[in-house]
This record gives sequence, structure tokens and C-alpha cells, in this order.
Amino acid sequence: MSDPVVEIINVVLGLIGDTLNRLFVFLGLPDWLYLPIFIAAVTLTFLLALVLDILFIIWMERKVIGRIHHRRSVTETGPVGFFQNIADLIKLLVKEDVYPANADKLMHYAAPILIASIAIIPAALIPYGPEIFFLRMSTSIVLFFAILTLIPGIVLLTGWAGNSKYSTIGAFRAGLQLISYEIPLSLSILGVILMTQSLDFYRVIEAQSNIWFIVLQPLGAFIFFIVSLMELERSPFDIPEAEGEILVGWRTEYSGLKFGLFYAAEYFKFFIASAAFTALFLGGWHGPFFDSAIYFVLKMHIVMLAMIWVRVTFFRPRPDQLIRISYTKLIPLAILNLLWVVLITPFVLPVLY
Amino acid sequence: MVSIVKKIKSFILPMRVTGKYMVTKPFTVMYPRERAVVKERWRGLHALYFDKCIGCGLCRMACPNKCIDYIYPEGLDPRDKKQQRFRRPAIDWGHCIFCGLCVEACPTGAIHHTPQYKVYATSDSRLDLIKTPYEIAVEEDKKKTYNDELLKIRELMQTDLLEVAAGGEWEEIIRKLREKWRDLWYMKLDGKLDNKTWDEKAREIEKVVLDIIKQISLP
Repeated sequence: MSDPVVEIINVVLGLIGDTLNRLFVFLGLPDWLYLPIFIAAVTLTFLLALVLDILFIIWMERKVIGRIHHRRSVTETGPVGFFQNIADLIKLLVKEDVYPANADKLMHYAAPILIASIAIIPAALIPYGPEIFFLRMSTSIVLFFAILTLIPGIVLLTGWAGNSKYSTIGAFRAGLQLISYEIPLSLSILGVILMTQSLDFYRVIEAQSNIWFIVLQPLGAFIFFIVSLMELERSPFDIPEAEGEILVGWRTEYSGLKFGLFYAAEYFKFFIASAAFTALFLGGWHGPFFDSAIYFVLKMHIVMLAMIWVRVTFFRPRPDQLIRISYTKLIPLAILNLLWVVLITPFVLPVLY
Repeated sequence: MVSIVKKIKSFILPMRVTGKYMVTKPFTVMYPRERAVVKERWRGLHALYFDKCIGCGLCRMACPNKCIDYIYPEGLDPRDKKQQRFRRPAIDWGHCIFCGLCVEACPTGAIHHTPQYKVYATSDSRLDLIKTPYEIAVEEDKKKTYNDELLKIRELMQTDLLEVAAGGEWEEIIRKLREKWRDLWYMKLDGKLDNKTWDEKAREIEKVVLDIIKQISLP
């Protein structure tokens, strides 16, 4: 059975191409302009789909958190409050642009754009279906996490540029978080890489056609889940934000559209982290009866639900506790997971592919 | 080993609690659209078992806001102590704080709360919030509605609820009018006035009082 998502994408691509053809004939534009405009149109279309999904995710998060608190959460705007996020977005768009005195103006304005655009790039490296991927390369896993590591560096610069004690403290806390999660993150991915002997997301997903890696290495999956929560700076590991301690951390001086961009970046990261978990441990597009991007999206949203669930349940550790958890618990456990992988790989290799 | 099991439990237990909350119904009631959930001991609007009431006067004594006073049925004389048991409480919901002390004081359980939680007025008249015992009676044969406000005023002229409702500078004026009205009433009860003249003279006073009440009516 063919993938219905591929059919839909083909229809969309056909529509875009058709519209552009008519437009070019109508306006009499030169031919060399066609390819860039086509690529821009396709990118914008898929970006729009991503943004719509993120609006859904934010709605889901608000709704689930409300339910866990025995509240109803958003109810008024649109059916079951679905358009509340769009209303909030419009509110952010029309807010006044406030800029702190004596701040580094260039860095202050560049940071939201840089972080939002960097956070969205890794989404292009993940194959969503057997025929749906933007970029396939032999080292996509390495590139994926290398790009994500750029963000705390920019956060450090942002916090320094903001000329505010809260943003500076928050930025240094983000740096602290980076050094505590980076090693267990790499070690937990290493288990998957060792088992498939590949650095390619596509090959990793292909290898899980018979059995998912969450079954073969549950410890690695558990560590990756916790570490991705740390990387997302989401509760319970929202130490760089830490409301009640340092306002909203390194984002303290930002409001309006700039805050909206940070907010979007946070959810882009949420999206790609759960996509990475799905690709590495949950078998990607594999599912019963047929292989489809539908399964990928479904699993991704289940991972997001689990992350939201954890977010509501646990409280935030102190920064020193975070480092202690990371260095005395997560790193030894990750090494244990590596040992386990080395032991079982000869036996499971015939099952893979 | 035990401590590891304990630690794993300490992670699973809160997850189980929040997971349970996730699937249970929310506590919030979407009030104007949904009916509010009224508990058993809710102190709602009052109702009166007309035949259970013995006219003892305890509810008026218990009322901290002085919003209960008594109405005698037609032809009975309030000066005669033996006829006090026929009087029934009228209540001003505009001044009532729904403390429930009158219900606690009632020895026979005649006055009681209903689950009804909305104080309603059918017009913009302040008079609508003052209820005569016939309006809050439970028994169908005692129930009475007033089409004409003057009829209701005639019943309420026996009570001090009107002057309390008017308040301020009007209080004294209404009290004086009521004293005049009561003299006429007693004269009628003593047989010094025939029904027709009593009706005309009382109606004049009642019209003035109604005008005052209309002035202080709800905005």
C-alpha cells in the first residue's frame, strides 16, 4: 500500500507548480527565476504546515496541563479554544517593541532571529517517511546535534548583551545546562549508532523495521528522553528560565514579536527533539500494515504528550543537583547502556533490516 | 537494592497520579452555560411550608439584617395576641444575606432553603425582591401571584420591609405614612370605618408609597 501522505504532498507540489506556471505565463517572467521561486514556495508551504502543527501542539499542551490541574484551560476562542494561540500571536505582533537601555543593540535584535532559524534547521535532516525527506546524508545524526549545540552559545551572548542581571544569570545557567547534558546525550545516541553502524537517520529507521530500539535498549531511550528534556529547557529542567528565581532567565528583556520568536524556537526544538526520539528509538515511519509518515507524526505527538506529562508532574532541581544527576547518574547509566549494546549486538544483528 | 526500587517508585507514583487526573473530568463548571452543582446544605432562596408555620416570630428575631416581618391574613387583628399564630413571614431578598439563621431558628422547619441560587426580579421594580408569604409558599392552594403592584403593597404595608428597602431619607417618610395607614386599618378592624372608605383612604397612601418605591427601583 502506498503512503497516503506522499499522495497529498504530490498534489500540493503539483498545485504549487501549476500556479507558478500560470503566473509565469501571465507576467512573462524569465525562466531562470522559476527554480528559486519554486523552492521558496515549497519551503514556505512546508513551514506553514510546521507552524500549524506547532499551534496544535501548544493547544494540546495547554489543554493537557489544564486537565491535569482539574481545570478546563482555553475554552472561549473558537471550538474548544483552538484559536486562542492565534489570538495570542496577534497580541504579540501588535505589542510595542521595547529595547533595554545600554544593551548591545545588534545582538539584542539578532538573537531571536538566530535562535528561531537555527532551531528549525534540524527539522530538514529528519526523514519523516520512506519517501519524505528534505536532505539525506551519511552523517545527518552528527549534524543534527551539532546544530542544536549552537543554541546555548547564542544564548550566552544574548544574556550578556541584554545588560540585565536576570538575563546574564539565565544565560550562564544555560551554559551550565549545556555542559551537564551534552555528554550523556552523545553517549545515549552512541548506542543506536553502534547497533546500526551508521550515522544516518534514514538507515537507523530502516534498521528498526522488525524491532524498535526502545525494546532493545530501554536504558538508552530513557536517558535520551531525560536529556532531551534538559536540552529543551523545559520543566522540570527549566533551570535557565526558572520562573520565581530569575524571572524568565535569558529572555527577561524580550517582549512582543521577539518573545514570540523565542517562543516559536522553543516549540521548534520541542518538535525536533520528539522527532529525533521517534527516529532513534520508536521506529520512525514503521507501523502495522504499511509504512507511512502518519505513523511518524503519531509517534512524535505521543512523545510530546509524554514530555508534557513529565513537565506537569515533577518539580525543578537546583543547578548543582542537575549537574550531580548528570555526572553521577546519567553518564554511568549511559556507559552501562553502551556495554549492554556491545553485548547484545551480535545476537540482534540478523533481526535488524 | 531496596533504595533503587524506592527511587523508581518515587518517579512512577506521581506520574500515575497526574495520569489519573488527565483522564478524569475537570472540576470547573462552565457556570453561565452549565447549571451550577448545588450541594445539599446550600443556602438558596427561601420557601415556606405555609401550614407548618406557627407564627412564633423566631425567624424575625434571628434575622441579623431585619429583612423578615409578618403579614396577617385578611380580617385578623395584630393587637390580639391569640391571633399571632396565623401570621406568616414576608422576606426581602434584596437585603437578605442568606446566612441561614432564620432557618436554624425555625422550630417547625417551616421556612427552609431551596437549591435555587438565582435571586430574580421579573421587572425593574424593587418590589419584586420583597416576597410575601403567599409567594414563597410551597402549598399550591396558598400560592398567590400579584398582577397589580398595589395589591402587593397593601399586604406589605403591615411590615417594616418597605421603609428598610427604601432606606435613607425615605425611611422616615414611609414610616409616617405607614403609621397613618395602620390607624386606618385598626379603625377598620374596630368597625369604625366601612369597607369602601377604608379602601379609598388606604389606596391613597399606598399610591404615594408605591411612587417612592418606584423611584428607588433597580436601575
